[in-house]
Amino acid sequence: MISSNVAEQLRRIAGKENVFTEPEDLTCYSYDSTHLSALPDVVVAPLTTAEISEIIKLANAERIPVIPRGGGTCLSGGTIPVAGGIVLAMHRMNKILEIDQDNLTATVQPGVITATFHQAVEKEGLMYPPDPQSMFMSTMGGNVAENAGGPRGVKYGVTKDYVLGLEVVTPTGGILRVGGKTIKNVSGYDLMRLFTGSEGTLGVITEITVRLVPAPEAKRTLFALFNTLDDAAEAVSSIIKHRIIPTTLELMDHKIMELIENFKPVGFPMDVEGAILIEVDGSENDVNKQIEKVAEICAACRSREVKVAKDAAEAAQLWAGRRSAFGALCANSRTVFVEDATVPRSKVPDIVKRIQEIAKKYDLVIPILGHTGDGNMHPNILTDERNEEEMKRVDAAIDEMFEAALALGGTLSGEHGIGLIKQKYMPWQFGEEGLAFMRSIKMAVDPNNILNPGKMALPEKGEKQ
Amino acid sequence: MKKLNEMREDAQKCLRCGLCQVVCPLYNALGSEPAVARAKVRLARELADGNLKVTPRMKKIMSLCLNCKACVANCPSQVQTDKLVLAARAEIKDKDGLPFMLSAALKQFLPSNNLQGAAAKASYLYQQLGVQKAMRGLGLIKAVSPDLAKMESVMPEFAPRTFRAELENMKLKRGGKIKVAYFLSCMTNMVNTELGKAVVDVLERHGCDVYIPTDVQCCGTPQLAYGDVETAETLAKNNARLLAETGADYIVTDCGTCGDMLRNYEELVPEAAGFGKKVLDISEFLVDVVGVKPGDKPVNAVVTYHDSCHLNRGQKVNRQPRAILKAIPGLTLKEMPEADRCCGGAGSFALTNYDLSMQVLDRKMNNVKAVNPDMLAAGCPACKMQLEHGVARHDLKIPVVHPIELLAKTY
Repeated sequence: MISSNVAEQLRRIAGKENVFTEPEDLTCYSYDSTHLSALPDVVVAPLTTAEISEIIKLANAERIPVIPRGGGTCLSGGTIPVAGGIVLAMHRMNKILEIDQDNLTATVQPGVITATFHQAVEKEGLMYPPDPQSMFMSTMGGNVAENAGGPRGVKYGVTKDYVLGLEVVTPTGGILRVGGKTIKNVSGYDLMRLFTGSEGTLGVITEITVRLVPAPEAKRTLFALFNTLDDAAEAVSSIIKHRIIPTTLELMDHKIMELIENFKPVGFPMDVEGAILIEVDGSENDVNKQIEKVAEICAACRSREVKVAKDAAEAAQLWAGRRSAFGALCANSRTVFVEDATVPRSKVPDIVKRIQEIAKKYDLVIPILGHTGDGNMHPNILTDERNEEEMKRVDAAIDEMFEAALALGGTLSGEHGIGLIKQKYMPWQFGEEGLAFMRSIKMAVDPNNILNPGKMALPEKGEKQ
Repeated sequence: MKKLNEMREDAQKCLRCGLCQVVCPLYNALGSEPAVARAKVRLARELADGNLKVTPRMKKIMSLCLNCKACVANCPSQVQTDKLVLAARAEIKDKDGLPFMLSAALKQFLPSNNLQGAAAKASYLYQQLGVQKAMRGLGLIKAVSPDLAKMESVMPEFAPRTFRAELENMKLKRGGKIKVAYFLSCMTNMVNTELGKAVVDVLERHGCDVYIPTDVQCCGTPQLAYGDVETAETLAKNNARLLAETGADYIVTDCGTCGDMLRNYEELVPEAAGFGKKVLDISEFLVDVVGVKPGDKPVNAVVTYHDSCHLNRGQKVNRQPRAILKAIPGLTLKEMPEADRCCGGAGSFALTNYDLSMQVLDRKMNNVKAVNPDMLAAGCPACKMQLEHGVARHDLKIPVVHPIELLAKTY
């Protein structure tokens, strides 16, 4: 509980119509897209950087946690206010401030919806590549805080590869500007990279400048079918080995295609064990060459059939199928755990094998799909959180999956972040030395542990180094 | 109807993925979480579990729903947020009752055909005798209450005589092949009497004997929307009985909202079991049952079509009104962007939340403007009322018509 005095001060800062303390509002900001939740003490919807700075100074004086929140579609529990405190709802800061056609950059406020931003730059013949599956709901601020990726990561990289400049309110309420519109910038520490992916623990992002790229001239889609999932996984690694970098390279197993066909039929075959869906882009000429080469590689990996989409409509149909995967999973299961362990690209066949073994060992249904072109797997565990016995097996299976990914030289998370859910695995990846280093950074800039405490294996509220 | 505590299971199905954020017109306008479906699902669940209580804030949040069902259509887990919100409103009404005026409107005025007739007459006189013009011109209403002025501005233009009154002089043809019962909606009765005449004319031209039980009352949607399940159930029982008693093969409606309600009567009252199967929207009946046969007179116009939520997502009727428009000689159907997005009318929502409703309407009107039509068609008189307000607000000078009115012009 916060005191009425604090609530009064928040109302003075942000306006009384933008401060919410009633239990109904607190409930609405208690969850994200995970199964976890915790109530904040107050929700504030600020309009300016100055307001946020004042709020954070107040929070430091009163030792109240502050949790910035965008679309609330986090898949790792990153915006759940586990220690109570103030949730900053960023939706009022939703302006696209500039699309600079001379520098190919854009500057936005953090509350802009990612897909809205995509549409705005695409109108100008430009492209902002990061495309998390939640892009129609997620915000640009949330994407920077989580260093969001997406299917196009194979060719275009992730959010951190596009952030050129940030305005940030520091954990003690200072206002900091780092980077700008320059492509090259080696002055001082690369604080942009530090803030990008910091999951709201090091600062509140209040303005973002990103790099844009010209929209590609042409795109083509290829769909290859395999009699075994291992062959399909081998094709993924082989394409990369042959130095073809498609825009997206998605792997689907039999189970996920079956679920999609039952949910929204798009014509996925029911009698193959694995398939890969590939999009290439570039110049007209280049695109055709890439497609030919990909088809050859698939054939060498014993593909049963390779289909090249005849036109945009056919391509759109295939991608619509892939995009409805999440819906298909939800429609068939009470609880879905979407994991995102990621491995080096050459290890895709190995991790696919390991996931299949783990599913068998723990008797779980784990359809496999993923943006495998960048090694990012999405094994999805279909379960029911009310079934205690099965949840124990799920926990054990997830443990083993992460162990396997790390053993293959991979990482716990390709794009969802650590948040609450993956904290316990952090020592596995970083060891005591690594964790201590991160904690030192956190405590140095946030001595009162105000910003999003209790996440990413950083100190809990009130905990000292 | 299922009570909130019987819908716990449904509320728990929500995985909080947030896909409802993409399509919720109110969330798109407000951006704050309480506006969106997954928040209402969560609140409904906490209310059912007793963790939250009926409070003014709960009431306010639950009132912020257009019941447009866009979230339901876009939900991977198929959570029935529309029904959860209605159940929560029923729970709120049971605990808290309704304000006197609202209760009077829902229980006395809307179900009473006599009172409707008197009110329509009074409103017609108010509008025709220049009183409305004078009141607006002098800013009298605004001076009393700006909110009342906003409400008055969305007032539809009432007909000189109700359709019920007109029916006394109409001779309905007999000797046709198919018996059809036509459900007389409040809006057709009080405002769009020309639509009623067009429906009868078109049905008769398609070989139907039309039966119009004039004792039917309001369909029950406004009552259900405010959580007055009891009154809605009484209306459903009566209407279903009167319509069934006609012995008609089909029951047709010309109002997307009424039709959606009638189809779901059996969820409200066991007496209506099997009733919903007979209910068809007029466009669906013409296209799918008898085969639409337009006349030769052309309607030379570019028309764009607005999908009413309760017709499209409620009754899954979207192809048939378009088929009718395309069959009309001389008419060009031009699709607007986001044709299936709510217009923001949602019954009395435009009255109770005028500014928010206008934000939703403005997006609709900008989509209409993008195709520059001569006419705007919609299969629901409630949408028509809101869209006419939008046309005036955006200074468009195009008529808003029901597809059946256009079809009737071809004979």
